[in-house]
Parts: sequence; C-alpha cells; structure tokens
Amino acid sequence: MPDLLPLAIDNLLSPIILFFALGFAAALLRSDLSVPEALAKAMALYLMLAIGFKGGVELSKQGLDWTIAALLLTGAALSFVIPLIAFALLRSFTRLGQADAAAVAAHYGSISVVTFVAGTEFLTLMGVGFEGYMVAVMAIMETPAIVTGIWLAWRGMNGGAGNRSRAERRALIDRDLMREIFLNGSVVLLIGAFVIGWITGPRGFETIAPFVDAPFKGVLCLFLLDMGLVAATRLRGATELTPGLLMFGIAMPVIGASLGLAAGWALGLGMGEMALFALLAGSASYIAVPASMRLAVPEASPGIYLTLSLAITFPFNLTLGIPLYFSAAAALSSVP
Amino acid sequence: METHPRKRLDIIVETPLQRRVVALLEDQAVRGYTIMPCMAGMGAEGSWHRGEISDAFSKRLIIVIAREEKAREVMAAARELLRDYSAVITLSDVEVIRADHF
Repeated sequence: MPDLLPLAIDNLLSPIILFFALGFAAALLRSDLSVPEALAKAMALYLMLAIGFKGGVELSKQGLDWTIAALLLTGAALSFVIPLIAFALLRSFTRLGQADAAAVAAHYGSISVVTFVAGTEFLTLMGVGFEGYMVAVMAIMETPAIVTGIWLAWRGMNGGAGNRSRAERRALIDRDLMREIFLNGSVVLLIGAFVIGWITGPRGFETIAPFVDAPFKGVLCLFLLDMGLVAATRLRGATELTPGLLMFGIAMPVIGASLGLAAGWALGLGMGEMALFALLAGSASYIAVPASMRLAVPEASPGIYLTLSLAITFPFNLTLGIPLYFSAAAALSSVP
Repeated sequence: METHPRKRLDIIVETPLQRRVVALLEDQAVRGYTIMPCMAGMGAEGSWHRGEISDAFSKRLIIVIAREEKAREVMAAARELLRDYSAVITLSDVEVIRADHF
C-alpha cells in the first residue's frame, strides 16, 4: 500500500482543492464572494459535457469488451443496494424517521459527478490511467438509488396524520416523476456526450479539444470555488446535524467505497478503474437526487440530506477520500 | 377609468413542482398565468435562497387572475395537489382593465 500521507498532501495542495478551500473559508468568514447562479449552472453543464465526451473518445480507442457489461451491471446493483445499508445504519444509530432516513439513503446510493471529476484529476496527477467507460458506469449509477429511496420511504405508509396513503402516493408516480428520475438533465447530457464522443472518436476530439480539454481544469477550479461557498453556507445554516449524523456522513462514503473496491477487485479492474469505482460507490448526490426527493418524499428535510451530502461527505471525499481509496485500490491491485 | 373586480391567486411552490401546477392550471382551463422566480425567503421550514447547486430548493411564484368562482375552484384544486408539499397559496382582490382577458 503506497504511503497515504504524501498522497493526501499532493491531493490537498492541488489547485482544485485549494480553490474549494478558498470558497469554503470565504463563506465561513461571511465574505460577499459569490458565483452567479447562471454561471454555476453553465459550468456544471460544461463539466458534464466535457467528461462525457472525453470518456466516449477513450472508449472508441479501446473498443468494447465483456468487462464493461459486467461493470455496468455491478454499478447499477451497487446503486440499488447501498441505500439499503445506509437506511439500516441511519435507523439503528441515529434518530432519523423513516422518510428522512430513506431520503438520505437515496443520496448515498447515487453519485457525485464533481467528486468523480476530481478523482480523475488526481489519477492524472499520479500518472495513473483509467478507461473511458468509467463515465458510463457513473451515469448508470446515478438513478437506481432514487428508486430504492422512494421504496424505503413509502414502505408501510398508511396515510395516518393527514398524510397521503400509499395508494394516493402511487398516483404521484406519474410520467412527470419518471421523467424527473430517468431523463434527468445530467444523465441525458452525460450519456449523450459520451455517445457523441464514442461516435466521433479522436478526430472529433481534435476538432473540439480547445473547448473540452484546454479550459477544463480552470473551469473546474472556478466550479469548486462555488462548491466551497455553497457547502460552507449550508454548514453554517445546519441546525439539524447531530454527532451521529456527522459520523454517518464520514463513515458511509468509506463503507460504500469498500463495497466498490471489493466489487472492482472481484471484476479484475485495473488500479485506476478500481479507485474510480470506489469513489463512485462512496460519493453522494446533491443535484439529481434532491429534486426527486422533493417530489416523492416531501416530508424529508433537505436540511438533513443536502447538508450531509454536500457539506460533510463531499468535502470528505474531495480531500481525504480520494487519496484513501486510491491507495487502497493500489494495494488491492497488487493482490493476485 | 372603468375597472373590473377579479381575484388574484398566488401560488409559491418549489421549482420541481412547477410543471405539476402548470398542468393543473391547464386542466382547470384558466385563461392565463404568469410564473416568476423567487430570490430568497424564510418560512416554516427555515430560510432558503436561490443559488444552491440543485434547483430543488429554489421557488417559483405562479400568478393567476380570474373571476372569483374560477379562482376558488383552482385554489381548492391546488390545495389538494400541494397538500404534502411546502407551498403558500393566497387569494386577493384586484382590479383589471380588460375584463375580457380575465
């Protein structure tokens, strides 16, 4: 196992993490620094377009094999299963009610695109390559957790205390909710850009490289500055966070990542892919899942699920999780 | 200047619910509505503001102006739709100039 400390320091002293720290500190100190909302949204679109496209281009160079199908299925299965573990932990060790625990669980089964992107930057920094299909694995892991989360929240719901019964609730699973879950903008853009990259290949890449490649790291820095601001603002306003929840926010990504590592090792993934798979399994959503939870589980408090995923787990993964999962993947990949 | 009394229905909802409210308004065959973004606020569930990474917590103000009978029908339907969600629904008196538009 490579020494963790120098890895962690390398990671912490990279521009993207330092810009995140700058945003975080600025918001804690109540600076008026802010990134316009429309720009933040545009940057999120840009990052997804670029990462999707580059993944597709890589895949077109390498071609398809059975590992990819197995990995996609495993990714989807993990996204379905991780919320069950998260739910059980929350119900056993914290005082969260069914709806809150289910909503939090759904966030931890899903993934965070920015965490993944930061992970790929770290691998590049370490000189470790990874296959382009990991982007497709990320896209497929985004939504199954939402289905598990909704099931957990609605299980045994009897319509007491003025709430809707399960039958009434079911009427809410209409085309609108389905669209929200399966045709979520980020999933459409990630998969769409991935397919376009795959079709157009290295020649397509050459034509748009000045847009998708050259400014990528700079945009990522500005985006993470905003993430730092948003995360710290959330944390400052967090009134519902208990020590138990705080521990969950740090333990759960490690548990998810361990499952990812185990599955990645069993599938015989390379070091880079295994580290990214662990990172995906360990990361929590803060874009796609909150919108679905607001619609399907309105009783759950965003003050709990969004604060946990955005203000606790995201910074943890970004700073310590990435080098930790990387060194574990490095150790595992030398095990025959 | 001659004006005509009408009712103004204001519905403040979270952005993910906008499409559902609009579908309801179309179901109810209202003759028009306006949707506006909200900047920030504070209420039963604490304070919120635009500019979170997710759209899920920003809010929209949906305004409908109609005759009283229609406005009350829509209000009742909106109450039913939004029963479990955080929402503000109000009805107030307004005067309009073009009676045939509302």
